[in-house]
Amino acid sequence: LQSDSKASITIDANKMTYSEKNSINVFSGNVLLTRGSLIIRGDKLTLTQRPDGTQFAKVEGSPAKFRQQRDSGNSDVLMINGSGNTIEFDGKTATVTFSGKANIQKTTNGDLTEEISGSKIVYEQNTEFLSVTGSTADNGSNTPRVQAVIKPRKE
Amino acid sequence: MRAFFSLISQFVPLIVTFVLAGASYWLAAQSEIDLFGLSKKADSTTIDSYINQFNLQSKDFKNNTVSMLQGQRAEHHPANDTWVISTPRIQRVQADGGLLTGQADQALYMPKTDRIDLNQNVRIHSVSGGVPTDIETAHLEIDQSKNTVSTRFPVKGSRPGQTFTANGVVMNQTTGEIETQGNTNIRIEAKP
Repeated sequence: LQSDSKASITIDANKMTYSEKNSINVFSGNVLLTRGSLIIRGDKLTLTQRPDGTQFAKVEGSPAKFRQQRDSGNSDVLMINGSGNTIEFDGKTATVTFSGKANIQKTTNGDLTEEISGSKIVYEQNTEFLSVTGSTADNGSNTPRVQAVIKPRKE
Repeated sequence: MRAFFSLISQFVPLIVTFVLAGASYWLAAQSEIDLFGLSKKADSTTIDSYINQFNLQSKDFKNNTVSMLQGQRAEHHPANDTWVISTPRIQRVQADGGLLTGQADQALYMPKTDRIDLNQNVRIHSVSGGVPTDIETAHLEIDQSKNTVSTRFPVKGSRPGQTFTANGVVMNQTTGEIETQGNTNIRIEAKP
């Protein structure tokens, strides 16, 4: 949601270390980051506080998971769920980068409408623009492949 | 069988006499020990001196830090060489501008280990690298030789734009590193 960028970030974890010198918080163990409708889960989270006050978060997991509600402009509930071995969230550019078995699913009122997978997916939250880098095809050919499944809209 | 019991019964008075004599000797020995306090361990609650308006200032030339410990009253317990200080205030200034101030209901100061334990309503204000951190907890250990502040008690902390809670924390005043223990929750306010 657009309002997410104005919400505060809350992080829960088993442990945190903070380094003064480089303003980096490292959270480990059952990490849960929430910001408005945005939820990211993983095993380890490295949060960098930039001088301009924005944050850059790198979440590692097996896999790390992402979930956020999208603005719909009507009563539909649009959600985007993502996963990857690493999820990078840049608060300044409002982009989320999934890498390592990256997968994104879009749902409308709970129904899957779109699913995309590849080795790396960059999702721009403000424009909802997605760019996907393929992963090696199942048949072993060296040409990276992208897979997208778009469900027809219900009548 | 009857003859055997009649024989034994003749010795009963003699046995009883010996038992009573032994018991009374043991009691006498015990009271003598108590009299001279030979078995009594040094009682850690006894004090041998006290200071009102306690004020201790020290300079650590190696680490180039100046420390101050004040309190309304300080009582010295010789058993464990500990000063028990009421309404303590601490202050510590480092060469790099690092600052640590704190207060509590009570403090224990152990000169041998250069350690201060703060107890009940502990409030610490620390500035490291120009960033202030405030901490509230029920118990805190300040190890001046290691330049660390730590607790294993639930702790609430706040820094500019951040608040956190945890089940314990260790703050290294030299490196500015903070490590929380146990379930940690941190809230980072959105950029205005």
